Amino acid sequence: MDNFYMEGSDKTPSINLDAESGEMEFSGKSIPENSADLYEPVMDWIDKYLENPAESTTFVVKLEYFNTSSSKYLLEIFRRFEELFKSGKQVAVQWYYELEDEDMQESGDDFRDILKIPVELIVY
Amino acid sequence: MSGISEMKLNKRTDKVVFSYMGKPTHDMIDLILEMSESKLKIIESSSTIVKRIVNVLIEILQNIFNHGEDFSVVDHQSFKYYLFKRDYDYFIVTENFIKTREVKNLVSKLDQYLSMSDEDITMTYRKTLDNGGFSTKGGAGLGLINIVRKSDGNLDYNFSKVDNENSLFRMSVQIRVE
Repeated sequence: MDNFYMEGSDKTPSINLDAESGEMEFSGKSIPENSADLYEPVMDWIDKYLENPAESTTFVVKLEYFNTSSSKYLLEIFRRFEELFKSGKQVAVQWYYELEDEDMQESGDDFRDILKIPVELIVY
Repeated sequence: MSGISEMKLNKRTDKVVFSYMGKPTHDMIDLILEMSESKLKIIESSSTIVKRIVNVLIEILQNIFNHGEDFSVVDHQSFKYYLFKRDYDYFIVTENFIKTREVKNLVSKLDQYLSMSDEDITMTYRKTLDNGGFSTKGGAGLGLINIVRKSDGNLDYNFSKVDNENSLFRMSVQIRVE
């Protein structure tokens, strides 16, 4: 399976999804007006990945800003891994935030509260 | 919470960070965000505050773009935006047109969110994120909740009916600097 790579812009994140290693990274800003255009191809890739996933899947999220419609898609992506986690595979979200960024820390808490996969909050 | 009249720009004493008056296009919204953020970074030393303001701005501007009405054909100044500093606090004031038939629903939602405690608004945000689905306009229904949450409920608004079809919506959001 091919890896997924999307270069970031002023409004969209860099997305790097590695099918072999199971390392998935989102970084930069995610504030597009139309999140569906951005995230639907990612969801399609994720659905294919889940047919034959790596032993361990780690999401590294290092976002500076994201809008609420992006948060819907991020949640939907993470949620698709809950079954995989329940089946015994390793799945984790590493949610990075800058020391003074209380809002991004709070968003990490939101995901940790909602999701049934481990969400680790990491200061950088 | 201040009344909206008190939250209006006082040109003599308030420090304008950025203002815009005109048509709300995608390009203009991008420019407003970019300019507001770069000017904030110059005058505000706390990156927490800068990020808080930009977070709220993103939601407000995208909400207006997704849900507001553009009738710039009849009024070229269909959208007004001010970001200003008063003492230590920042105020984001917007004016835009919406359909009169949508006013009741917006008032009901805003009043509901503004009456909530911090814990309740967080729970409502999480519940809506968890269960809310995607709205037809792509805004996911979370934008308003997030604006109220991030401003700690320091938000005021009013409407004035322009005609049976259109109303002017004014909103003022205060970001407090402790």
